[in-house]
Amino acid sequence: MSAPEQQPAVASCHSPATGRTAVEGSSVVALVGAPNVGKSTLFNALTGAHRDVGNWPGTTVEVGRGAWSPDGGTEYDLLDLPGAYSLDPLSPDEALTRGLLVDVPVDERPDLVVVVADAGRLARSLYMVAQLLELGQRTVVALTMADVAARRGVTVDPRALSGAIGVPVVAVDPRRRSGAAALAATVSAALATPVPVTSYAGPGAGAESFADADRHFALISRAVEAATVEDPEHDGRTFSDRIDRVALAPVLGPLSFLAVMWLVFQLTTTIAAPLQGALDAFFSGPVSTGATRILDAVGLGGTWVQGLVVDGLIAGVGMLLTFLPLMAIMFALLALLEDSGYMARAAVVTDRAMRAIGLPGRAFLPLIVGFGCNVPAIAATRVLPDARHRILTTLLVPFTSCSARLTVYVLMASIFFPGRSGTVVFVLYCVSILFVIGVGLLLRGTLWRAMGDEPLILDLPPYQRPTARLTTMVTWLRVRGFLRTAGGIIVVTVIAVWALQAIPAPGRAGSFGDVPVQDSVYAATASRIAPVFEPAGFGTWTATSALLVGFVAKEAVISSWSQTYATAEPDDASSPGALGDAVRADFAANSGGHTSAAVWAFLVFLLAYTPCVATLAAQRREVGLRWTVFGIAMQLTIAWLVAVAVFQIGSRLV
Amino acid sequence: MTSGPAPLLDAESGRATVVSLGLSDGPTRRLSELGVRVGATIEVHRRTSGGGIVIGVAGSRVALDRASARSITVDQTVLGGGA
Repeated sequence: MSAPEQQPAVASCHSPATGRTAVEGSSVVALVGAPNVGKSTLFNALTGAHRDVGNWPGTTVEVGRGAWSPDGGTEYDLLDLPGAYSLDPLSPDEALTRGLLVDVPVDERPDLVVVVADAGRLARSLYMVAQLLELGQRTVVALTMADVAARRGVTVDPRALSGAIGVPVVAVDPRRRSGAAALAATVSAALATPVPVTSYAGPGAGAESFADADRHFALISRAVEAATVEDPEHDGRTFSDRIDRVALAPVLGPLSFLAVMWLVFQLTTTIAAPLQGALDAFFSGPVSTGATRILDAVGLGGTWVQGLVVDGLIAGVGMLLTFLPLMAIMFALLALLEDSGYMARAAVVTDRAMRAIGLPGRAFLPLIVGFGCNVPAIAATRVLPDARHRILTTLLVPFTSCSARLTVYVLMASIFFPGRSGTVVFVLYCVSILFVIGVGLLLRGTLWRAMGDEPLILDLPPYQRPTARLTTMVTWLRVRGFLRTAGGIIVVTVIAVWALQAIPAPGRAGSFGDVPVQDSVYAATASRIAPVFEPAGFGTWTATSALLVGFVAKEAVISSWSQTYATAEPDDASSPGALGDAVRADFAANSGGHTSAAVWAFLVFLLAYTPCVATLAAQRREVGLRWTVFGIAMQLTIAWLVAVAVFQIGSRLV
Repeated sequence: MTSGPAPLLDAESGRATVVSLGLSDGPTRRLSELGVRVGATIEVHRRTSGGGIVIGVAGSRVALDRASARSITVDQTVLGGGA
């Protein structure tokens, strides 16, 4: 019997979606199963806690935990373990599942394991059951996806299955929230039975382990045969197969992939930009004016307090909020891609390209998530079984252009290339992909020359209509996660930038809160670094200072600019158009007449150097300090070299 | 119709029996868990854009890369493509 406090490693701080946990002394029930069988959906239906559920292998990277009280009285401590096909781990996720079921002392194991099994793909779901039985574990099978199987002409008889495999089997439909009562009754009855005797002698090696496996498979084949009825009239070709004829085709596949990606970025730019503009105008307009008026009324107008409140606090919070529509749209689109099942096809289509940089097709997941936000992307590198693949992917993720960088692209594009923002952004995303490939090849050719290829063996989930509830939920979870991890950093950074701008540099005139920005500590620091960027065409303290802030968070680049120029020219702050004029004039004056080349160099540098401190924190957690520092140095070097090349070549061509 | 054992990569669409896997332990185990075992019947679907192949096994679709598909040997003589 394991009391809840005996499993502190389970309750992860990265499961913000998990609801309350069960009362002490409750029986511990663990949900296990292959990826994509509806395990997390069942967990949500039972506990009411909302977890990140997607139609993608490895969505449950951390262990979820919640209280399940089926009849209001009895309460179970329910665990949602990472997806695993068996107890022989090939990835850290599977190792975690094995660790909690097998490697812990017997009295700390869950009291009962519910194996969630997909009716349409029964055989693979039952392997885990066979292993658990051998382990001496109380086991119950929850049969899901009966509707999907029925559409393929496959029906499964729970009673026959139960007879054949020797454990209770209950049909459930968590998407429609049915079968929960029957499952509760079965779990309760099973908990009253004694724990079965174990016949497991630890993971066998080589031939012995394969002999074990053969025995399991023989049992499974008999069980599947006994319980499954297949309609011989049914056309084996499914709806998913028909879509895959295009989505995986040699030429059409990559083309559809590119089209989908292009659509994603068009949608984010065209829908988010006006919303962003409106929110920005609201904060820099009415809110700032209102706050100024109130401060005037209490006699603080014109003091450093006004600066702190209006230029620090309101500017910071305002920026965070203007950033939200963009994040929400990007997260919603990624959720749609995951939930529909297309993401797995994208991994197949990109497999060869990934292989070229020494990564398996699976590495596509963290990299594509990186386009939304690098921080969860680095956490997602855990889907990779090989440690070297994880390090390499963790080093490459920052080159995927996150949506925070998108705000800067959109601003720069609308200032310098009006009417062509979508195209500019698309080009930058292509550049981002080129960086990932190029740096991947570079690292593979130098650091990991001996690294072998891992074969692609990817389960393609059937396509399904994404549910609005699921998409909204996942989007909200990720937005909330973003606000939690990045919100504080952003507001603190903006206030810190204001403070640095408020402190006069040594030897300059002015007092705290009353100093022209070009005489502040902030400008002095940026000016000292600026010459480094002269070969790239933007060696000004204004551009450099934006990059300094961008090291902390890319979201802060624009607001730091509006602070920089607003303080220098107070009249300019009222409209974004004025900020545009100021930036345009600045770049034009300092690039020797090659404005476009300097702008592209700036954008490329911005794309390629350190994304934000939160990403560094995530990297440190996953691959350690040494690799994180290596990553920072590598990115700065590469970003600078490429930016210089862009300006030097661009300024000669145009 | 192909006669005798041949690499999965060269198989025609239709049913096939797995003769050998020819992969290292990890991938062999993963394939076994997915239902691709010696003696199992699989359905050969289509080539993918990466040069790999999609197979149907135990009611689901599994994508394999080119190298793995070359290592796996299947026999189509018994069951045959159109049988």
